[in-house]
Parts: sequence; C-alpha cells; structure tokens
Amino acid sequence: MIRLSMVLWVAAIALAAVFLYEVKHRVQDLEEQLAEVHGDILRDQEAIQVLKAEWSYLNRPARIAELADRYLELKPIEASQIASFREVPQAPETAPQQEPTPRTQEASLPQQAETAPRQKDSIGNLIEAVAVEESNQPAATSTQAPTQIPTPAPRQDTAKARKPQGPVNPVTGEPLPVSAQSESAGQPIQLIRTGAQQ
Amino acid sequence: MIGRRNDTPVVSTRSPCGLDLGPNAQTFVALEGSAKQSMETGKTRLMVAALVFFFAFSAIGVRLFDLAVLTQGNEPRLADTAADAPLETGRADIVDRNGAILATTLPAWSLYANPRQILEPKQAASQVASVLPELSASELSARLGADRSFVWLKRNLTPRQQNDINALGIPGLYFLREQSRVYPHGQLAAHIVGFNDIDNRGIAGIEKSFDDLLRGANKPLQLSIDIRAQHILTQELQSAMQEFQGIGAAGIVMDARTGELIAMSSLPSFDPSAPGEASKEARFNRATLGVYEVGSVFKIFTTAMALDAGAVTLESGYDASEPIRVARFTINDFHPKNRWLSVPEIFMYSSNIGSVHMAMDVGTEGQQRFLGELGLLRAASLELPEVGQPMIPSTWREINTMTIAYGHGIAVTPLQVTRAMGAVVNGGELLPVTLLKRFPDEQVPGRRVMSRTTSEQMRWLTRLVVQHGTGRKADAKGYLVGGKTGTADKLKPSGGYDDDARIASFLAGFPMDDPRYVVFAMVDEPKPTEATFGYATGGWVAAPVVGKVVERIAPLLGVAPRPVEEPEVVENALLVPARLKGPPLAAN
Repeated sequence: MIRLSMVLWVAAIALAAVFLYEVKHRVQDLEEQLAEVHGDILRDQEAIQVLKAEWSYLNRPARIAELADRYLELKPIEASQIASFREVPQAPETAPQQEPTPRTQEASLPQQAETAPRQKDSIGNLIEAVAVEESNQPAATSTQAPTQIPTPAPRQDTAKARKPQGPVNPVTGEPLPVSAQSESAGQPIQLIRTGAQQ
Repeated sequence: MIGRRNDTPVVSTRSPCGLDLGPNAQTFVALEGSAKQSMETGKTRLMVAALVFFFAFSAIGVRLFDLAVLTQGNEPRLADTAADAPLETGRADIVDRNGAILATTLPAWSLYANPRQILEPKQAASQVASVLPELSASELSARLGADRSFVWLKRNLTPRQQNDINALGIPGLYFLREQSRVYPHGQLAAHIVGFNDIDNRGIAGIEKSFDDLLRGANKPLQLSIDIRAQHILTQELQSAMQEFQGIGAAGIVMDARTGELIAMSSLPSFDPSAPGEASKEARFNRATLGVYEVGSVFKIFTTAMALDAGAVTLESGYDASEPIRVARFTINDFHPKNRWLSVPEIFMYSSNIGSVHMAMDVGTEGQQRFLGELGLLRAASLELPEVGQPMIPSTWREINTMTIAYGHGIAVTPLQVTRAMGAVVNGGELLPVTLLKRFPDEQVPGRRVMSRTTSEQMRWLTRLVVQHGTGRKADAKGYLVGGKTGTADKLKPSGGYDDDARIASFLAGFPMDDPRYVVFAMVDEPKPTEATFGYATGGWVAAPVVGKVVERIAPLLGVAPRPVEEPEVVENALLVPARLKGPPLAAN
C-alpha cells in the first residue's frame, strides 16, 4: 500500500516537473516575443511621432492655401454664400418615392452610400471642397460635413427679448433686420449659390 | 550554564514525588544539578524553536491560501509590463485648439568624437566637412586633434547626414541618441510657443512658462490658439506691413466670452528652431511685451466711462468748434467739424475735443478708477514670460486726464486693450485672458466693470464708426463689425512727438448684435501710399486688415453671417439725437 502510493507520488512529482519545465520554456519564449513586440511598438510609436510632425508640417495653412490656389478653382467663401435652412426651397414631394426602385437591383453597400453625393454632383462636391479649403486643415474637416459647421445660436439678450417690438439699435432707434432676430431659430447651413465654374 | 557530562545521574526506585514504587517497578533516573539544568534548557529551546517555526509556516500557509484562493479577483488576468507604457519623448507636445502639433519632440542623433582614437585628424576633418559643409575643416581638425576624450561635432543630425557620416567609416566618431524639438509650423506661432535651448530647456514663450509641466507630462499641452486663424491674421498683417512699409505689426483675436486668445501675431517673426539667428527685433513680442500709445482707440474706454458714470447720455454733446488750450498745449481735432457734436458723432468722427470734455466731466479720479478696473494700468497676466508693464503717468494731473482721453500719455500693450475691449462688448465683464484652451462648459470668473446698458450702447457706437465713421474699411459684410480706429504719433527718442512715425491701429468686435470675438490689428510706422491719398491712419492701414481677417475667420470660427442687406436708414437718422439738441446740421 505504502509502496503503491510512493510510486504514484514519484510519478506525480516527475509529471509536475516535466510540466513545469515545459511551461517555463513556453513562458520564456512568450516573454521573448513580448519584448520583441514591445520593441516594435516603441519603434512604431516613434515613427508615428515623426509622421505626426510631418503631417502637421504638410498641413501648414500657408501650404494648403497655396495648393488650393494652384489646383482648385475655388475662392474663399463669402458671407452671402451662406444661408439658413429656411431659405432652402422645399423639395418636391414625389421625388423621393421614385428613386429607390431601380437601385434595389444592383443594391450593394457602397453603392447605397455613394448615391447621395452622386445625386448632388457638382454642387455637393463644391460644398465639400469649399469646406476643405476654408478650414485649411484636413484633420478637422474629414469628420466635418458642411452642414455640421457649429454655429451656436446667438445669445438672446433677456432685455431685448422682453420688448414687444423686438430688438432695436439703441443709437439710431432703428429696429434690427427681422431675419437677424430669427437667425437664432434656424440652424444655418452652408449652401453654395454661386460656384466658381459659373 | 551547561552541566558537565560526567555528572553522575542518581538512579533510584523512588518516583520524583518521593513515592516508593517497590522493586518491580521501573527505575527512575533523576538528574541532579547541572545535568538536570542542561536538559531543562534544551527542552525550553526546542519549544521556542518549534513555536517560531510553527508560526512562520502557518504565516506562509495563510499567505499562500490568501494569494491562491482569496485575492485572485483583483489580480490582472494578463501580466502587464512597463514596456507597455507609451513612448517617452522627454518633453510633451504643444498642440493648438484643434490638435494640430505646434511643437513636438523627435529622436535625433548627435555626432561626437573621441579625439584620442582618431589617427589622422586632418584627413578625418576634411572628410567630415565634406558631409557637413556648415563645419569648417580647419576648425574641425583643431577639435579632432585636441588631447581630450570627448568633443561635440554636431548636434541633431538629419538621417541622411547620419548615414553619410556612417559611410565614411572613421574610427573614433560616435553617435549619441538625443531628443530634438521640432516646430512644424515654424515662424507662424513662434512668439506664442517660444523656443528651447540646445538641451531642451524652455527659454521663451509657452516652452518657458510650462517648462516643468512639459518635461514631466506625456500628454500634449493644448493651447487656445487656432492655427488657421493664426495664419490668416499673420498673413493679413504681413501684407499690410509690406504695403505700407511698416517696421512691425501686431494682431490679436480673442474670444470675447471666454478670454481665450484664438490668434496672436507679432511681426517680424523668427524661426523657433534657430532663435539665435533671429534679430532681437524679430524675437520681441509686440502683442504682449511692446507698449504703445494707441491713440483714438482709447476713446472707446473714455466714452464707455462717461456713459457708465452717467456724465453723458447718447443725446448729450459738446461744442467742438474751439480747440482746447491748456498751459502750453492745444488739443485739436484730426477731422475738425467745427461745430456742436453729439456723443455718437464725437465717437464716430473721433473728436479729440469732445473726448477731452467727456473725460473732464468724469474727472481724474473716475478715469483712473475706470481704466484701472479695465486692467489698463497693470500688466495683464498671461501664460507667457514676455508680458509688458504699461507706462502710465507717475502723477496724474489734469493734462494727463485730457491726453489719456484720446489715448496719448499712456502706453499699454495690445493684449491689454484687447482684453478691455472684450469687457466693453461682452456685456461689461472683464475676463482673465488665457492661452490655454478652456473646457467647453468652464465657468470663467469675470468681474463686472460696467453696466449691461453701457456695453450695449458701446456696441452700437462702435458699429456706427464702421458703418459711417473712420472705420468703414473694416466692414466685413454680414458680420456686423464694430470698432474704433487709432492713429498715434510715436515719441521721438529726443522727446516730443514725431509727425512722421506713427502707430496705426484698429480695435474691433464682431458680430455686434451678439459679440463673439475681439480683433485688434496694429501696424508700426506705416508710410502713406498713393492708394491711400497720403494717409497712413488707422482707418486706412489697420481697419482693412481687421475687415479681411473677420471675413476669413468668421466662417472658420462658426459665426453665422447676418443678412447682408442692412436696414435702409433714413438720411442722417443717426444724427437724430443731434437734431433734437443742437442746430440742424449739414450732412457729412
């Protein structure tokens, strides 16, 4: 009885030793790999750092302005080219119903996504291009569609708002332009009225 | 004491208690004397050792159980090592408000030599000089021939240079890995970001004021500057400076609601990666360190002061037909109207005489207090080491009150007037000005310096200047710019004012129905040109800069343009207050 348990124990110890040896070796291997990967990560981070600096260098506003000047037929946006939603004419109601039927045949995912800009063609492209040129910083603009340019609604002065006849210019006594007061209600979007091609 | 071995044990049939157990019983061995004592000592020691080991092993056992079974939950599933930490560059980046890098640290290799290991210094020197042409061969050979074991040859090589040096294969040349500071935007924000010395210690600008923070942190420091607005401001100032052959220019764009500086430019500028090559003039920050008499721009503060103190109302006015003579001075108007002027007219036509009357009605003490509250009498606090102390009269006499009313006899920094203008347009609260980006919902501690009504009135008075007065060239259509021109003769080094050297400036806010930003532009010593009919005043030189800057930055900063069609104004409706009080006036 004692002898059997002795044999079992010795076998268990031997097994454990072999197993431990194996695991230790595997861990050593993994640790070497890990150190290598960490080295790679550091090298990559360093490269990223260099590339970021270069990206910032290539995005100097002066350079972007010069490139835009050379390759784009666009001019800086003027105040008169920016309008609010209320100035956009209502779309005809029948248009959206006809559209989807022919497209479902070739329905593939990228196709679906591309339809919107395709439909708008030159105007849509212009809007995007102008936004890129204006902000002079692709990093910021890539996520920024023209309709999203943040325009917090002008602060409504409490004293102004209480007056029944609306805000007045205190110097001249002239009422302010009506649309200037209502500007705060509509979220303004950029809409190109006159493109550079015209 | 340990008993000796030859102590004889006492063997008896009596138990230790003295009971006679008889002959059949066991015999007891009783040790006596030193032998007994040593047995006792051994026993006690055994006990103590056993106890110590028992406690030690039970402690280990408990701890093992604790580690293996109990604390498993809060241990990481995966081992994390120090190598996972992000790249340590030694100095944090500086970025603009949108994250564009203004200053970063990149690894670089520096070249040094051990002259004792160099066999032929002359030949080595000429070879090195062929790769690095900026080093002279003769100087190099002197350095390589020195009896030392370490000389720097060149810091921060480019990768190509390093490769070329390596290819030379000269023994005794070594590379040392270092960090070098890189400014991708170069001159554009040089005065704000500042620069470091060769050992990466900040010695100017943000680099200096946040030196410890930048060295300790690995997170980029985010400034309030918008590099795009900075570019636009700098470009417009540059072209105005060139057109009018000015010797310098400065400009600031500030958020009127938060006090953040969106752009700040001082020209001429310099390259922060080679500050040693720049002139002192170029490194001088005109926007924060330079103090200038800004002239009529000060009428904004004089008028606001008079309105706020109740000394005048928009309907009152003064006779501006007579120049004011005090002691040996005569105060006259630059655009004389020679008649009674209402307060809006005084402001619109920039009448010195009217402004002096207003200041005198408030009084010297009131003026001192008001300008002090606007922060014009003490250096503004900003996160830059280069902040100028204003020059104010040591004794504030009546004549000082008069000249300060139209901006002479007091020299302040552009930063100070911009900050004060913020308070004039934003509803009357003076905000601390900052170069660091504020959190979106940060509460900015402001200090009320004038009533809301005064601020509102001032907004439309400044708008009037741009619509019908001296600042018409600043009118960016749709953005309701309001501002005030300033033209001040500079002081001659010999004393007195120089008629030919002046500072042309323009201080504005936009849009005036709900002011968001304050813009200041200034050109130092502009020369008149033919296109400006011989004028080099604030209205001709600085106002157009502000107009163009506003036109270009407003869409970037998200200011919605107001409808361009302004309300049809009845002829001279602006002068209604004047008509009520004074005689009918000829249209201007």
